[in-house]
Amino acid sequence: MFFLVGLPRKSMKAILDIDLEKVLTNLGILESLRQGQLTCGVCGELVTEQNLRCIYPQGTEVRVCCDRPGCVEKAFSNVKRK
Amino acid sequence: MTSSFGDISTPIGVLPWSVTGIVIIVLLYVFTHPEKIDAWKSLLARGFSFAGDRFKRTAVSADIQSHINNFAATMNSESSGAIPYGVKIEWTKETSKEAFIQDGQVVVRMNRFTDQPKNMVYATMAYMSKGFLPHGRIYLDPMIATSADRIMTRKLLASRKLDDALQFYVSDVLEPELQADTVLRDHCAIFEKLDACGFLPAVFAREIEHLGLSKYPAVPNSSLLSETTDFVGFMEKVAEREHGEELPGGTQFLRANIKIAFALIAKTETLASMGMGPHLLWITGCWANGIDTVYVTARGNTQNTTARKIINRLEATGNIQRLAENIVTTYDPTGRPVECLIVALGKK
Repeated sequence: MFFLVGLPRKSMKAILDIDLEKVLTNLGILESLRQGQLTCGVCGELVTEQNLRCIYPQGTEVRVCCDRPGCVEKAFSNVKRK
Repeated sequence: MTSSFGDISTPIGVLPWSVTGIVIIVLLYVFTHPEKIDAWKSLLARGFSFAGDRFKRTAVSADIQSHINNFAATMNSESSGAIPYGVKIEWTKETSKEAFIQDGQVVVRMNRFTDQPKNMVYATMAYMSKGFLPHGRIYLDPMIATSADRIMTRKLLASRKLDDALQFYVSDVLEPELQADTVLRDHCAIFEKLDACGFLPAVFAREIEHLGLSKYPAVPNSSLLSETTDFVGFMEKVAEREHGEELPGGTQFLRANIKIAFALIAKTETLASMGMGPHLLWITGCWANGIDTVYVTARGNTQNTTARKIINRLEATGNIQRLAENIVTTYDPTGRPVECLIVALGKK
């Protein structure tokens, strides 16, 4: 029966580039990003505004990950949904 | 006063049947095809994107939802439930650090619609790592799960004809990964073979998700991981088999958790000389051996017709039921399309 009304949907959080500056400011990491102080929480590569692909929480910290193919997936695997 | 109300309400309250019919059809379509509505939403939002940021966001999110949810609905049907969820993009516009930590979710960065091929690739990869085999994937070797995700991501982009996204995915994501990791390359090659003959969703995904649903959330032990790895190897051998070729070791996979058999319908000449009898006997014997599911597979019109006759005969006994049925277009060595029938049979 559920095929008739489509599959149930699970949410995926996203941020559009036009909102990036405001959100990163609120999270307190915009300056660090611009000063080249943030590294990918998965592979350790330097993350800039160009290669930033996701943001995720780890403990009480805000982590970022780069746009390497496996990094976004690993970030998803590592962060348990609440 | 009463009469004036009556005059006004009559034409509005009682719509002509044609208008009512159209409204019902539209509502029914919206209700039954939510993923197609997203495609229209995205198109409209793109047209109005000059009017505000809200339209820019909708243009991106509705397009991604449309492609992923359409694909998921088809694949979920083919795999009997291995992709049971669609996706809904929720935009983060402003959030405090506390709320972000509390929410505990990954936020994927997207760019405006002009960069939609990249958005599509990252959203699809993120979706597959959670949405494909949500219960079964923990019982797979991580490299096998990643390889299956890679081929499913490519399948989505190709089947939805997202050429730019597919090109970016293959050249910037898949190829560099495969060049750097030979194990991943070998496993992707296996899933490519399984997909080419229709086994990836209809057999592999179906069996692994069913296994997951029966075991989840039990911790995967080494014997279970080794069983699923062997299962992939077994399926590769079946997929590689030439038409009419005998398979060393047979076509039954009978282990502690996965108990399946492939009933491969014989070549036309064999069928002409032997008839359906040997097939009927062999399939019936599978259940006596402890097999749970027999996948009757046939390639080509003659074999498909014979397969259907065999299945009907088995169903007529009242002991066997059809669990799932798929028709997949495969290609023979000359590149000619050949329809392949895959029917899962179980004991009642």
